[in-house]
Amino acid sequence: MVAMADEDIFETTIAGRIMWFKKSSEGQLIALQRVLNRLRTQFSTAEDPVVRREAATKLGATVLDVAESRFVDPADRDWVEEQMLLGLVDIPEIMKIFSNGAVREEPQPDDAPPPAKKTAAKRSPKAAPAKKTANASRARR
Amino acid sequence: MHPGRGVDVFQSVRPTQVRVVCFDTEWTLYPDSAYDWLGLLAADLEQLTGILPGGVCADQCEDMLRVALSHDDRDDRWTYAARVALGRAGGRDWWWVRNLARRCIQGWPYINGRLLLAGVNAKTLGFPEWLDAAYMLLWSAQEGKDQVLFDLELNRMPAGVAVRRDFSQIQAMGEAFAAD
Repeated sequence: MVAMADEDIFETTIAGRIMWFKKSSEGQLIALQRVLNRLRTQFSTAEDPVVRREAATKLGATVLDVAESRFVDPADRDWVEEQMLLGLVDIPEIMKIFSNGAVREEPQPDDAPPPAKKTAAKRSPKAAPAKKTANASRARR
Repeated sequence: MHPGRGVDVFQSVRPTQVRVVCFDTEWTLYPDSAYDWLGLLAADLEQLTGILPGGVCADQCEDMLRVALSHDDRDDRWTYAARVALGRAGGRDWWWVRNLARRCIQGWPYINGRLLLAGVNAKTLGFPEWLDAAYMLLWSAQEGKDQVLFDLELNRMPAGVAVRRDFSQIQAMGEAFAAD
């Protein structure tokens, strides 16, 4: 067995189970992306439902083939396969394996309040001068 | 018939379609314009992953992925083959092409703008011809000493890259050393 450095593996959670995976190289990810793009195009442009189904099946099989090579512990691989057969884990969840440990930041909604700015302590507002009323000016007289 | 007739030197030095052997398989690369080549180069100027496996023709993608899973030294093999492919695509030493491309990508709006004004369009021109035009643009914009420095910059090889020399060159070097 080839020894792996800590930086070559990463931890991620799939369906509540923490697992370790080998990081994919940039070239591997590019090769996978090219294949997935091709299959997605086949799927979306084909009019024949048989061709569409074939493309979809091939897409799933490709992801699983590549994902299988990334598991550090074979027991995790067997567990994920089992969960997939039970319908508890699907392809988008499996795609986490190719993230190399990067966590996607959730986008902020547009109407979220802006972060609080540091401001100088507010002075207590001065009492506004009382308005002169007709009665008051009459009383002075 | 003249023995040289039918032999296109430019076609052998600057082929229109670049092919490269890696993992004992011949791969055909899809880019045909300078714009495509620059785009793939810009993706990764160090390891050249944009060129290989990124530049492989669509019908070879799945084969490429399959070999990528079966070889542990795939990254090194891809880099070496991508260098060969880049040299073939540019018609010059791969590091010369990469250095010039890097310079052009860094100053893209200026260089592309000047070339477009001169009628040199990266989207319609082949990579070697576009590189010739870009080189002349940058070279002629400088004077005397700066032109020499520019050529030196383009010919500078990356650290850790060995030059292959044939036997006669090695012999000549040995003789020159002995004469000293």
